[in-house]
Amino acid sequence: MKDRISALMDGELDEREAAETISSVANDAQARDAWRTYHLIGDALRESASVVAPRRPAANAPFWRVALPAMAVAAAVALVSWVAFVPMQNPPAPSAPVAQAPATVAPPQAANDYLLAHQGFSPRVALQGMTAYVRTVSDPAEEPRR
Amino acid sequence: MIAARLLVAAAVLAAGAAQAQSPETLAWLRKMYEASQKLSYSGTFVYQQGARSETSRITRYGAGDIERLEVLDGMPREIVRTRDTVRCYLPDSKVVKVEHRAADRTFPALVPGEVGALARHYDISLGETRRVAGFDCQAVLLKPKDNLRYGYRLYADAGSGMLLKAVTVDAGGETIEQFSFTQLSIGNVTREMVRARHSVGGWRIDNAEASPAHLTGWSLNAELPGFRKIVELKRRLGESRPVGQVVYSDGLAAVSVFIEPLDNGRREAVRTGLASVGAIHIYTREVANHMVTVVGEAPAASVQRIANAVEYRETKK
Repeated sequence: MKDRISALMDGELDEREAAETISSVANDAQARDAWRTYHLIGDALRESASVVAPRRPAANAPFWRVALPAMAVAAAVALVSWVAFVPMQNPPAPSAPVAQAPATVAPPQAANDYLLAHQGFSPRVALQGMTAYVRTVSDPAEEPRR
Repeated sequence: MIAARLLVAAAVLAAGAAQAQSPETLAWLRKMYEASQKLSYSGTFVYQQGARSETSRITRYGAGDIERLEVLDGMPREIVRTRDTVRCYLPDSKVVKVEHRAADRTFPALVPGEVGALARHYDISLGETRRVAGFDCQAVLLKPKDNLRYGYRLYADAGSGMLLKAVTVDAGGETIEQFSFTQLSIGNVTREMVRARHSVGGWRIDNAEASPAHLTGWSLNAELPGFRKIVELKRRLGESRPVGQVVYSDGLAAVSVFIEPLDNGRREAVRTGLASVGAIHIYTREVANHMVTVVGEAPAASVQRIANAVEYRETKK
């Protein structure tokens, strides 16, 4: 099955084989895992390629790798992987240096001023309206800080 | 021959992918955005962070684009937002803080067309369907592609698109904070329902004027990947301190850098360190005789990285 999925992603199956493989991806958790893994590998390959080269697909790259980013632009759509929101099984890539744990302090006295000033620019507000502002008015004295 | 094969591959991929990704998923985000701009509603929601939770009532009057939020636990703090201002009523200190919204209206936010840009930093997919406050909701999952930002699980009413539940999670999948409606009715909101209940006679009014400006000499010596500068302001903060504010955003999370001059009296007020309020981290440090405070709904390391990148360079005249 894994070979089939790999072949599918590289566009090497005929119509009937492809349809069969798709339906197994849709119905079989194991096949879905393989599909997801291959996409992650593909993403990782593309990412490491982009470190040394601008993000321009190679002329001989499989059509879908070229076509999807192009469609992404056209339809304001981008390649998103199949990954469901589960705790990561693989350790995350070390894309940021791990900062030293800083001293933890109580929020500054003016914390609410900063929050209020900041909140107006948070895209979250555009998505969920004023509920995001509740942090601004939540009462810091309500419960003692530990 | 090859072309035919490639076409099949493309069609196949489109078919295989449609279930989880792209147009439909992004359409859900757009639907949430539109719902938040158009609907009239009134409901009760719970905000949870750590062991703490707080219940509030929110009402939106769609025709006038006015929203009112009232905290139901403890002091009846209240916020009323109109097209032009955000007024924050703090009855305990008898203060009303007024923010003017002229500046933030230039912000692109999640307008249709911009939504696609989110996919550069998040894997976006559809999740489960589940009932929230009696509404059948569709989950939209945003999984960050790096550890510089949080992930989100958003639950939107299948009918109206209204966001009923928003969960912020860290890289390990642990919940950082959560907003969740417990009751909601859509429609039937009058102008009267969004009027402030506090009369402010005798209250102090903190008027936060803000205008776009260039903060000469200030910059980040290293930007945080994916976070673009979206606005730069001079403004008033609190009673009337003059402050510079620069906001960076990746399209969903935002981080503000506040820069304020230190006079001798306030020197002791700078305590370098990190604080948090739910998913928001606040990091303070001193740079070139100024207090720099970075506030953002991002992991501590990201907020700290931005704070540590703030630098001042004397400009040549």
